[in-house]
Amino acid sequence: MRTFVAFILLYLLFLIQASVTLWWPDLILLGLVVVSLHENRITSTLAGAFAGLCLDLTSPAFAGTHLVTLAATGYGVALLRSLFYRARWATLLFVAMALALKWIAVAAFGAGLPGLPALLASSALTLLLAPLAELSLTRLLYHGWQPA
Amino acid sequence: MFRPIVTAWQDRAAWLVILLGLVLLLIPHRLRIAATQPLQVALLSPLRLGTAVSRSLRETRTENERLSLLAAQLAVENARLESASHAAGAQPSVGLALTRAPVIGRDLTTFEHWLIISRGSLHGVRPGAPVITPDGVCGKVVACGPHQSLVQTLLAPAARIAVLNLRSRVPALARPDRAGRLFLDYVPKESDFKPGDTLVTAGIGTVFPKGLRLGEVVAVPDRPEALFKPVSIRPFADVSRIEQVFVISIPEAASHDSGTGWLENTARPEVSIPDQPAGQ
Repeated sequence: MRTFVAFILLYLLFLIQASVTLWWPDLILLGLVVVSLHENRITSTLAGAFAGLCLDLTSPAFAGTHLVTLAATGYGVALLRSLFYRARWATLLFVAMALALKWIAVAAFGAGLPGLPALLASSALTLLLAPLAELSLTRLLYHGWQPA
Repeated sequence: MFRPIVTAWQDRAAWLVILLGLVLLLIPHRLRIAATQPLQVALLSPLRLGTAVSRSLRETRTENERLSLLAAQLAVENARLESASHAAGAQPSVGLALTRAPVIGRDLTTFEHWLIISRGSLHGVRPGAPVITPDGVCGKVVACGPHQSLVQTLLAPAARIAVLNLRSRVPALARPDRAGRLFLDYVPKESDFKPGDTLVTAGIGTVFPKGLRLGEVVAVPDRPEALFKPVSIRPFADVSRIEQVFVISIPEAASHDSGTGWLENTARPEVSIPDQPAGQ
């Protein structure tokens, strides 16, 4: 049930993300990282693929870049979290790595990067929101559950 | 702190998903678009629905404002035609202009006696100008600032309006009672007033043009001991819920030609309005 709710949450974040400008924080990435911190590897990968597919479908030229990138992000976070078990700064590290992976993939295979100010602002806001997102989404979705 | 990475079926399945994504990247672009179009429509349908609802609401609001203005213009036009049709001679054409004005403040005790509107002398509003809604007469402007005006509603204790029974053509003077309605003062007992009669402005003061809808007679109780006939009126305009009004601008020459201003209260009250919007 909680997995289903996590997918619904990612879809809602996608709807919000699709309605706002490039300057907004990457809410889907934050949601995916938090979900991947709590779910198993296959669920995290599927959640990433689902979120990436949603993002790819909104772009005029469907490229599939986000699908691969976010699926790899979900898998990577689920894999690496066991290395940094209960380390609070790990979330920031994961979000930073995921952002870097996403921008590199978008620049290399996608529709191209947005302008530098928008990219920097969005990345900074995403990193700033990461601890808050982890706290709030963990309480919302996984209250009472321990990381796997 | 460190835990061993255990390779499991989950890893293989996850890698399979990622590989499928990579394979998707290799599919020709046209095929990719065709294959994902139904999914795109399904995923984005909530957004499209939200956008459509938002646009529909915006259009409805715009249309509502346009129709309100049209209704008010028709009310004024109706008043002019009514006045012309019942006049003995030809009525000189009076150019009336409407100014739409949102209500931005009310008196805090009754919500019904005074309104503040966000149009003032800079918008052409003058003290004494009639204020109407599409439903009927609302009141009149009693003081103007540059950007706001104070409106005395027809339910204010000092309000007096000369009215005319549309059916029997009997004139009378309406004033508010304490129940939020109007009643007619000094109506002779033999006057012809029945419940359901529509009352319009009589046009014999200096404020309201003739024929503006005011209210309907709701009760004419039979009191043999009374000197006058008690007539109770329900105003058409619900003053307590008005959100926007229309101020009628009448040319100076046309507004002072009747000479019977004693019937309607045209005295300016001793009030002043701040230049900035007041609190609700």
